Amino acid sequence: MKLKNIAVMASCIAATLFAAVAPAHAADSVPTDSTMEKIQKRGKLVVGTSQNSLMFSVRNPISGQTEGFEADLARMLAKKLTGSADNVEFVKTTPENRLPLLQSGRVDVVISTLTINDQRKKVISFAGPYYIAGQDILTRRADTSIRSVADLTGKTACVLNGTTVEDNVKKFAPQTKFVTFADTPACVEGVVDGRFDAYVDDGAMLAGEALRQPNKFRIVGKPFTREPWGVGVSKDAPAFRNWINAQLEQSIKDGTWNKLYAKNLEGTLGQPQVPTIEP
Amino acid sequence: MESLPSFAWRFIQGMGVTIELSLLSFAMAFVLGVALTVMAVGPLAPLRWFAATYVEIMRMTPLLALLLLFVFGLPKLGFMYSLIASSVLVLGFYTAAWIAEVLRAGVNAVPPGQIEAARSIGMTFTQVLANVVIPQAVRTVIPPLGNLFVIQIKASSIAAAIGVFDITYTAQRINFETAQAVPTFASAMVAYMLLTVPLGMFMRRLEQKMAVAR
Repeated sequence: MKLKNIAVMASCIAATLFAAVAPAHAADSVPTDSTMEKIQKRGKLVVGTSQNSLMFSVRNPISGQTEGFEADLARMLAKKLTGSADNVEFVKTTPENRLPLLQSGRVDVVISTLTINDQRKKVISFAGPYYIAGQDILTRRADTSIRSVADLTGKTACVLNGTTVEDNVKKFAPQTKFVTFADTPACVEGVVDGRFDAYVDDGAMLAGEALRQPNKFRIVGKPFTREPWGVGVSKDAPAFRNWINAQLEQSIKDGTWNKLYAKNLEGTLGQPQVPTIEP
Repeated sequence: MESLPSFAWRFIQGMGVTIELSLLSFAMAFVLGVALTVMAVGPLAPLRWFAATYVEIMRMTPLLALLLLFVFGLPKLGFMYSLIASSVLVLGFYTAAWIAEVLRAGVNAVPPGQIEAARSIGMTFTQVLANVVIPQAVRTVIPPLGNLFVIQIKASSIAAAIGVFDITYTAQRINFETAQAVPTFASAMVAYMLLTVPLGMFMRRLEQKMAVAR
């Protein structure tokens, strides 16, 4: 063969090998997705989060920073996408407005105790799950009549607006009376005041609230659902979603997920359940 | 996916709750407003002071803040009312101040000469009020009272903040279930208008009938 042809062939092969290898190293290089390009051009990732979930997403009133497992995950994604973990803007959301804000493009992702379910998959996409929770029950410490979800029959339970809790409880205790309030502190106050008998929500949230006011509450401790929490992504950004999944897989493999769990959750929630990312 | 008639039924039920909240609270506000007005125009200075202070406080406080204080603060003092009762009471206390102002303006619109004349022929304060002032004041106050009732219907939507199933909260739930914000909240607007527009037309007819030349 002529030398020129060998050289051309060799450089072609080298280029192909380089292209195949490059994404694995530079996982933050941009595949074809307008959302990711938009984020990189903007220079920061806009994250919708509750800032109201102890251990997962709390706004430190003194430093102004958002702290917790979900906040750290957001920073990890921002670092991989824009190069710095500080390039994050946290937007406070509630269960009521988190999906509309995602759909309207006000936030790029929602990382906010958002359970993956089929009803939501009709309107948004999910990456993850990044955490497996289970719904549980919080009652006043002196109230021993509620020992399982079935005991909620005939009692009044507080649930949050915009969550899946009510439907799940109805499967086990259809005669439960429900009151919906807008946020966790309101439900907790209602239990303290005696307005309702129980507050039902993700066990992780309840543990955080019980921490806030020690010795006032009893958590039943028997999660009656399996709640995979996922990162909410717009339906129009499939490549972005796949990219986030790749980052989550990577963080599980290289121990980052475990590190973040140990830093934020292990003390209160015990042993981690490492999630399996859904493709 | 739930059917359209099923959604419509939920809105109708929501309208029922909104009507209930508006009527009960307005009735309470009217009774309280009359009492406040009598205090405000009466001879006893401490009562005049109390009425004036009450009206000022209610006019300076946002309705939602008042409701949340009632629902979350009162139980700490030992009083706990149901969520509907709390909504009715707060709406009633709040609107009473505005009704009192309207009634006071109506009373002050009665020519003072008539009151002097009534006193000079020996009528007591109560007789003057019942026979001279109120019959004439009624004509002045009906339009503003009608306005306040329309406002009350819309203000009742604060009950949605504590999960009462009025029109607004029903819309929020349907929006959560279907993620269709535009048709859902447009329907909520229609539901409110089905209440306020006929009321407005009725008020205009009433005004015309009462427009007797002085």
